[in-house]
Amino acid sequence: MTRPTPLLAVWLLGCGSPTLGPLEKVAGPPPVVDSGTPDSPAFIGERPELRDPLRFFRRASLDLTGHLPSPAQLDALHADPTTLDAHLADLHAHAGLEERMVHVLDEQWHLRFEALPVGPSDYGFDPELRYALARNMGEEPLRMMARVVSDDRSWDTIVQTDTTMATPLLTRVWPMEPVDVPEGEWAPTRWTDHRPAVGVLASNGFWWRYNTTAFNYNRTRAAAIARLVLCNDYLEFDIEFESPSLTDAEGTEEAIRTNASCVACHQTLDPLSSLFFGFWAYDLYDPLELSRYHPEREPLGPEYLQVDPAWFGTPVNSLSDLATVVPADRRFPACAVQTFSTAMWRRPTTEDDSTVQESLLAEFEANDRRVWSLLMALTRTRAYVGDLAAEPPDDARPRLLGPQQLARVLDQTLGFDWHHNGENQLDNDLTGLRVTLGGVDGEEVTAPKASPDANLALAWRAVSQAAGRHALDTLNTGDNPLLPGVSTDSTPDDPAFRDALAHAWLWLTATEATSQQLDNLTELWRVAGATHPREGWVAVVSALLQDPLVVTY
Amino acid sequence: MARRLSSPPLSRRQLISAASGLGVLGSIAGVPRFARAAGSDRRFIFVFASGGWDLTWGLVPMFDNDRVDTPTDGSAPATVGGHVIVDGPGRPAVKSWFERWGDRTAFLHGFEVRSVAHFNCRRILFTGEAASFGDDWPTLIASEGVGLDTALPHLIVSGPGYASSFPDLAARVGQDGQLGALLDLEMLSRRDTPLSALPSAAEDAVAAYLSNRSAVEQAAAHTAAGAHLYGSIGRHQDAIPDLEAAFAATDIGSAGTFTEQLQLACDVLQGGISRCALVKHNGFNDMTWDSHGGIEGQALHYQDLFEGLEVLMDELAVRRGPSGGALLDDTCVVVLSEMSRHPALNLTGGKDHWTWTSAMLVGSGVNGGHVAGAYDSDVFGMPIDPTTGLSTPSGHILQARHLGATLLALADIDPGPHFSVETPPVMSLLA
Amino acid sequence: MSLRPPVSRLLLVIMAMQSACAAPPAPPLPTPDHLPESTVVPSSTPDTGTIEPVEATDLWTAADVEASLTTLLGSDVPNGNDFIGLFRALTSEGDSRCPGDDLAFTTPESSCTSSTGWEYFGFASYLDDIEVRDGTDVHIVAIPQASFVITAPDGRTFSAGGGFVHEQDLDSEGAWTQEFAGTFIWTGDGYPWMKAGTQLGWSIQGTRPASGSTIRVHGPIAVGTNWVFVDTLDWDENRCDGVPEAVLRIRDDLGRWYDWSAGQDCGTCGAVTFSDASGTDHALGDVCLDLSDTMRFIDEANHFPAAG
Repeated sequence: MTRPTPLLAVWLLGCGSPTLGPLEKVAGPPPVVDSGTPDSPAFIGERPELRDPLRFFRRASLDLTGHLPSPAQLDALHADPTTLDAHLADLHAHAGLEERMVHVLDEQWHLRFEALPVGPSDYGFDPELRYALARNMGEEPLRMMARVVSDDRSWDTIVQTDTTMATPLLTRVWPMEPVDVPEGEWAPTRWTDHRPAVGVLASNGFWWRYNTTAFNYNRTRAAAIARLVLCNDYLEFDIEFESPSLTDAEGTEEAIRTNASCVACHQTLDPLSSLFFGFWAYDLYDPLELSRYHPEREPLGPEYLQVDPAWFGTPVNSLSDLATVVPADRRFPACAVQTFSTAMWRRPTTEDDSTVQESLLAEFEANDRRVWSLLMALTRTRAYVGDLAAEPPDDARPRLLGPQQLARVLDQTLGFDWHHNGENQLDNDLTGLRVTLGGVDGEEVTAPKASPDANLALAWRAVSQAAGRHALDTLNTGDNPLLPGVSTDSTPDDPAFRDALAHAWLWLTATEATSQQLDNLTELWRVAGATHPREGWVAVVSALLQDPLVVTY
Repeated sequence: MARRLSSPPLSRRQLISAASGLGVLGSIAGVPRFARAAGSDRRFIFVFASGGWDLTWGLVPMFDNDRVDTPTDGSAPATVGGHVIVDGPGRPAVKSWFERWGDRTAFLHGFEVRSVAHFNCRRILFTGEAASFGDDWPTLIASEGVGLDTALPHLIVSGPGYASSFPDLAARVGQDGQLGALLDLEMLSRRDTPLSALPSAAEDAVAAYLSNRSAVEQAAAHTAAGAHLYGSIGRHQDAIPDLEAAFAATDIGSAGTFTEQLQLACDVLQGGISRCALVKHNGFNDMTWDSHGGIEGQALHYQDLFEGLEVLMDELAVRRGPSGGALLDDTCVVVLSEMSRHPALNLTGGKDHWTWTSAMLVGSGVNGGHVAGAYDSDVFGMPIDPTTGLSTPSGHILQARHLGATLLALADIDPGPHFSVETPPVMSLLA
Repeated sequence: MSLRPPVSRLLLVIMAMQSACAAPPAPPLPTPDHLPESTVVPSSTPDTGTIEPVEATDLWTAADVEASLTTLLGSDVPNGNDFIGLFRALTSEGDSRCPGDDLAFTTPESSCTSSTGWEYFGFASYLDDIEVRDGTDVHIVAIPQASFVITAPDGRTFSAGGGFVHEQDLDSEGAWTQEFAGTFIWTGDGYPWMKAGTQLGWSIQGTRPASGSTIRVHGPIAVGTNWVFVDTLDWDENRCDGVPEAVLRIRDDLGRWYDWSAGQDCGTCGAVTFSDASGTDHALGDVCLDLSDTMRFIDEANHFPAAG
């Protein structure tokens, strides 16, 4: 393996430490380098012919922003399907992109985690801040990575920046510069404790999730980095050998260095682990120890592990050096491609995808490793189009709406949210329905639901009825985007009645309602509202929100 | 462990009606006591002692090992029900339990859960590995056999549940009783501004509408997989009323005691709602078994656990099972903990973590009275011959995955495809 | 034989007991207002939100290294007497209920406030005792779990996250060990090293026979924005006129570590070197630093005479 340019030379040349300044949103859809000709490796090719461009755009909008396309977008696309790519490009400017990327990444990074080492009582906060605190802490690195995507920066930035993201609450508990935004909102900030500028690799949110124990010596952290940044999962490989018990400390140490099966992993794992001792806490539950970076403890790594720091065979001096060697590792961009492919295809990649993965990687590199270009390329792949192709493979099928998408849809169409005592009920597992609705909790449930189950059906029913009941409040105020022009007094005899149903159907499903479908909805309204018309409206909204075309995409 | 990339096809689910026989039926005279369910029909109740039990205080006497700090409360080894256990003051329930059920109990001793962190140990215990993917044994069992015919194949009443390939097969009662609140729609009141549910007639109308909708979309689907998905959505939505009825007699609020949770587990197994259920025992007074200080607290935990197990066994013995005999004859109870405790006391009178532990199997399919595995004088697990359960120098050093393979075998599932390294089940534990 | 230096016993006590077991709640951080200014890097961010890229800098010079060492290992070295003294002083400001006459306290769920207006939150397992080990009296002064915030009525705070264990043989040899690890901040006056904020994880072994004291120090230490790793600090007051053998590593604010060693020949001067990623050493000049007074201070300031 070639050695990198000595970092001393880099510094002396005036390149300075590889920080890249602020993460700022840029205006306009980002440029995408032409993906080449059919002969070039970067050529993904044309998107397979679509049988339903509106449903496809709905899929892309939900995948990339968590939101439904607006009725205006659907109308425009319906009028001119050739504008599909332009509409897709416009999604980059959507306000929901960043939040959606947080959840997309979290499905694999598992950072929106409940069992953090500290909670609100550790800071003298009200217990009702539990959810907000946990989410703020877990999302800090995710928000930074999402901002890199929405900012259209190179993905290299995630391991090179000295900037992260924070809310005002977070800056009160972590050593960060204050942010001047309303509580609950995120803005760029910097750490104040002299941690190296290596982005997510120096993130509290990341290291609090992937912590270490006394004798683990940061190996868990190193393994997490390898899995998430290189798609190299040490734990994926079962190794069978006669080993000493874990309780035999000396025997275990000896095996790590002499047993071929152990050495295979530890020869790279331990040198990498030795880099993270600035995050070594002497008290694993004390917020003071956990929150701050400890530069003076960096040499403990080589001392405890008896190895020189290295990145997979490349010697490095300190954690700071990863800002250079990680992006230079060929696996880094390949893993980014794999990560976002998994996210968009809603399944792990397999060996059968290798050709497409190579093409995506080439396109990714050609576009300076900007994730948006990768996402656009992914929307052109056959695996993404799936069942919406004019000639789909028989094993292709729609995907299920996840809890974050459902929450955004409910907010978007009805202004509905579900909070209880400070907890977002669609986004937590202690009192809420996150996992039930198909989400991941990052600890026990590590993949979203791909198939429905009884629990999910129950949750859909509850959420849809709640949203339907909430919709009543806005029907009479004229502030109901889903059912415009009607009130609780409206009847099927009113021209606006059927129009409202048609509007709701189109918006929620991205398909035009047939006359029969509108008749069925009307009949539902009548039957359910037999005792009182208000119940008919609740029933209609509830039915719409549980419709197979709504809960799938 | 093999990674699965898609869920298995689901068969038509058979849901039980309200008159199916939930609740206690009274003793069943004349039923052969040792009737056994076929493996693929076998149900499972997992009882998880959370925090790491000290085996020397209840299940594995080590009084003759001077390297081990054993109880000093007057405990002594006792042969009860065919097993040598620890009988001591403060925990008479252990002895009385073995007197009644020892002959239906088998032990697996000396398998290692290779971590010292609870977080990792729980995952390794239940999935065989520390990797972030992998479904737990109850979910894998629930994904086959009779599990395919259940509405909630694996019900996590309390405790951990690991899912990556089959997140749709494991349902959670929820720490706040969310499942119950979903069934009766009390969930809608758990909002800063509470909301009310639809009247039943209106809800019926919605259900009928949705049933039609899924049928329409299923018929119109452009792919077989799409049709299957829409059909599955419809089936699950259609099944809600039956599920409500099935749980109508059962309070599944999460505030239930350990005993109440065990009874719920019996309910769902007997009602054909689940193939597997998991209940966590969090120690006496929810103190957990994690006795880093005051090891004598283990006596309280054992008493509490076995009092609950007594109720469980009684429930299983009197309830009618699907095979026509007692539910116990259709059910295997698995009692386990993610670690045990260090042989020696620490500075605060407790014991720290120890990676070698044991599991207890009771009931259907179990070779009652059998002990597989053992501990050496260092309290390491000894290698064993999995066909005999006897220690042998050339045998297998057991890890959590061997327990998993054994459980899969009990469920009539071939363990082979689930492990990428040779992992023989301990067949001596199977009747 | 172990292949690595023994992990400190204090570290084992703290981490092994707390690793992934039921988490004891820990006390709150001081609010940003209470953090000493030297631990907060003034932001270069103007109100517009623009953050300027960090300018390229040369390596430190030997003088820079000397300045950092002098600041950190000069006359105000972190020590047990200060830490325990401050702890005792502040806990004595309370009353018999809060924190209690034995000065130890456990208030994990919510703080207690004394009648004198002092607030105590967290864990402070303070003990001061004499044990008999193998026939020798051992004086133990310790706060093995120091995870607390003590707040004065005027808002000054004493925050700790870590632990302190000092054991002293009460025989003629006077062997003692100390493990002092964690993060410690006192926003009041009187203890500059705590006011600047100290993070350390060092072990000290010493003896105090009548013939002369010895000390060996090892581990990381940071005071404010000075970071040093003590590989070796080996002192015998009867050797080399009290000049210790020192092998130290010093860090700059860009994460580069510099090596300095001296005393092997009883001299106070040694070369400062920087080793880059290729393994090439760069000599940056000599630093002369007489640490004999520092070592005497460490000896004197970590002495806990037996109670009574």
